[in-house]
Amino acid sequence: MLSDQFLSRLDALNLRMKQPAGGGSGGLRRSKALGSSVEFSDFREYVHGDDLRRVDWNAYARFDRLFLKLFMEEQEQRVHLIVDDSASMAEPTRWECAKKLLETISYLALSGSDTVTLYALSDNSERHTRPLSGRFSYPQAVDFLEGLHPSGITSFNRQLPLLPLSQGRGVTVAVSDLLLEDGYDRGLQSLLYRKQESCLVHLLSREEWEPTLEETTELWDSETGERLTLDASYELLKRYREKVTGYVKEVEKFCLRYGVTHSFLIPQDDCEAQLLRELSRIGLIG
Amino acid sequence: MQWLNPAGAWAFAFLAPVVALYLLRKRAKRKEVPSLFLWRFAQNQSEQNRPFQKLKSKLLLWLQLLLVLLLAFGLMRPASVGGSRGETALIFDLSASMQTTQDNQSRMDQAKLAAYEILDAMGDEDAVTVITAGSDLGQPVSRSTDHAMARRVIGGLKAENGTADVEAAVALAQAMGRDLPALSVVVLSDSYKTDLSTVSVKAGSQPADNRGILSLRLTRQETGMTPFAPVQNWGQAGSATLECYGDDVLCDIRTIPLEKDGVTTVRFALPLETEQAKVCFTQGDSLTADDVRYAAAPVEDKRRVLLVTESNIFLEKALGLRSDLTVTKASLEDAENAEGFDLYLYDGLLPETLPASGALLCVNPPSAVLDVVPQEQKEGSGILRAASGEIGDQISQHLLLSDIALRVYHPLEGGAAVLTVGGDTIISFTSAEGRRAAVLGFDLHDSNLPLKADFPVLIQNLLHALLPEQTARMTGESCGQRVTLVPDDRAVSVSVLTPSGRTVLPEGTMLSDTQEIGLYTMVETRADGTEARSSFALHIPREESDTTAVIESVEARTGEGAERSVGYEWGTWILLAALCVLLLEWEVSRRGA
Repeated sequence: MLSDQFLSRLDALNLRMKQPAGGGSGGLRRSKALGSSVEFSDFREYVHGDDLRRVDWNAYARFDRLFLKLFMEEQEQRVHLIVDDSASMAEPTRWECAKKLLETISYLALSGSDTVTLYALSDNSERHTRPLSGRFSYPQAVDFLEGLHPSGITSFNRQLPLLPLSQGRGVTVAVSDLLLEDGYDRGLQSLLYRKQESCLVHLLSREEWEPTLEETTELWDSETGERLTLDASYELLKRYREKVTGYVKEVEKFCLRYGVTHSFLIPQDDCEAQLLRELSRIGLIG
Repeated sequence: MQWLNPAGAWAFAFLAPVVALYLLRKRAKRKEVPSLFLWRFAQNQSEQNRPFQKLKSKLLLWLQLLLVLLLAFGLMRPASVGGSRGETALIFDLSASMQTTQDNQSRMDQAKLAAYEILDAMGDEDAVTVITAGSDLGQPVSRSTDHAMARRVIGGLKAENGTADVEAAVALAQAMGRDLPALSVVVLSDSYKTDLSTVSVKAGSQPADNRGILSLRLTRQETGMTPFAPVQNWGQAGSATLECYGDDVLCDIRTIPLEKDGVTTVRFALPLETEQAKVCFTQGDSLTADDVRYAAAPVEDKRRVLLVTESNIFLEKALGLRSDLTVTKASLEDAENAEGFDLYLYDGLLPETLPASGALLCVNPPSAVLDVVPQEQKEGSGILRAASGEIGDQISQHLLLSDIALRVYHPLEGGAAVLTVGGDTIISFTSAEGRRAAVLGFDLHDSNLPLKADFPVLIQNLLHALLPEQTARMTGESCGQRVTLVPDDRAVSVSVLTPSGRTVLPEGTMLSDTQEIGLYTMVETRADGTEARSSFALHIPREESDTTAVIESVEARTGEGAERSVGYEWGTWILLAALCVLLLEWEVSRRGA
């Protein structure tokens, strides 16, 4: 759970979106719909039946014609938070960072009157919360996240397209280690097709980024149980680092191509400060 | 290929600890990872090297095993055969003991088999020399690469009946070795011992029990001939039966007990007129050559002496000491035409014509005898001395020559001086015109010599020189040895009949064809056509009968000669290869770390 001190710091921050809100009324997000909010949008000529209170008398004095001011509609943002709940995410540092990340975003979204829905993906179960609103719903988000126990295998390509996201635009933040056998591309693309402002947070542990092996090691896959015996050598470790680096760049390249906000994190023990920095860097908070 | 240091093979033992350390190495540590996704890819990048990857896990093991193998081979110093071809000298002992047979195989057969094995192990380009050590040294094969021919020659070798001078054969081989540093000398013998490190000895024989007849002596008794035969037993106690033949007729059989390693003398009985005797075992043993013994009956060699003297009791007495002399006393007139005597003794007298044959002993002759000429008479003074020289030493043997006085004497010219006085020869000996003669230049009555003990000794010595033994005088009694024959002066030709009936001619007075066991007969043909025969027996040397003492095989130590028979030594290259493998193993190990 996030510390109170951290939460107090979050109170000064907002969750920032690139696209206008597309949710229902009552939110605090600027939306493309024209409405009765105080934020000026545009002028149009008066027609019989318009509200005379919206006539811009300055424009009449200037142009001797009647014009109406148009204002933005302020609506709530739908935020979908997806967490990879597979066994590979169970690495303690990574899982802790993933939970704190999602709790952070949940808090900011709920504090901004956004609707937050949390999804946990795993082949064992696919759980999600009901849409949460209001700051008072934050504990429910925490409970959901704390109640997760990573296990099984996740398939972004298979499961993301089937997620019961809310209709309309929204923001989707997916948190995963992307150690996905069948890839991630189609899954993320499906989010874009569903008009989601997507953000992908790629988490790899320090051991995965810079592994250390003894001479002969039998590796055991925590998801599949598969075993692989490797004679650690300079060449092998070199190839592995090249692979990891290349994979991360590949993900970054994909995200850049498809307009997905990308963040690569190697969780540290004190990840709260790390999260603030990174989320600020990618423009998700401000 | 040959190995100069086969002992280096002990290094192969290090293969076991290398394998053991590999098997006992730390097992792979198990580690749970979130996913093998990235690891599998890293491994998949080397899919094309998968077989190598499998092998690589054992690469260090293979390299270490290869290193141990190379070190072991390097220590064994492999070398090619060649450069200078191999040379082997096979020396065969042809002594009588090599006839010893056990399990239907003689020691000679065993030596041949050993030689065949050596030939089979030789390379085609290797040369072999065969040296035989018997009564003489032989070299039937000299540095030949024709191994088939060598095998045939070896197959035809037979043990002889004499001894073998293996030392001389080894010396011959070593003399060859001075020009052939790569020469390998192998002696095939049952008795040769050597301290030479460069000589191999292959014995391959086992001690064998044997019994042999050491000698056979016939003595003439009044009632008959008595053969005496000492029998020695080299082996366990037992009994043996011996047969005794007289002139090829079985005359006596005796069964005797034999003590362990003891000597038993057997006495037989033969008829008086027996001329030749043979004693043999009824059953053979491991060495049959010493199971038979021959002997010729002693010859009553009565020499006829004609004494021509007026009166000389001293001479008669001196002659009477020889029982083998038949002395006939005659006057000078009667002696004028006397013939057929072995010795004519003229005491102060001399016939006008000397006999055509026979030895002469002239005391104070009035004229020359053969080439000895008496000179003017002199007064006797001075001390008698023996003249130096072979004949002088022989005739003056055992003479004291003290207190001998001469009243008068005639110095002698000619012949070989025997005794001198004052520088003048007073007794001379000559072998002229095919006959022997001794001349005393003084009258015995003019000297106190007959009263001295030297006189009979002098007469015997003179008789011995004038009438030598008619039986052959031998340097030994063994087969294989040279026999010196001493024929009678009257013999114009000498031949020898071997036991097998062959007639051989001696080389001068030396008979070298003495390999046959048995009785040899020397036949002297005289000028008048008559023949005189005398027999002598030859047997195997006594030392050859002891078949219980055998030697052990000895291998020559590898020395410079063996090293120099190597064509090219590969050890250095192999050790260099081992060093390269060591560097490679270090690099592989480093990369693994």
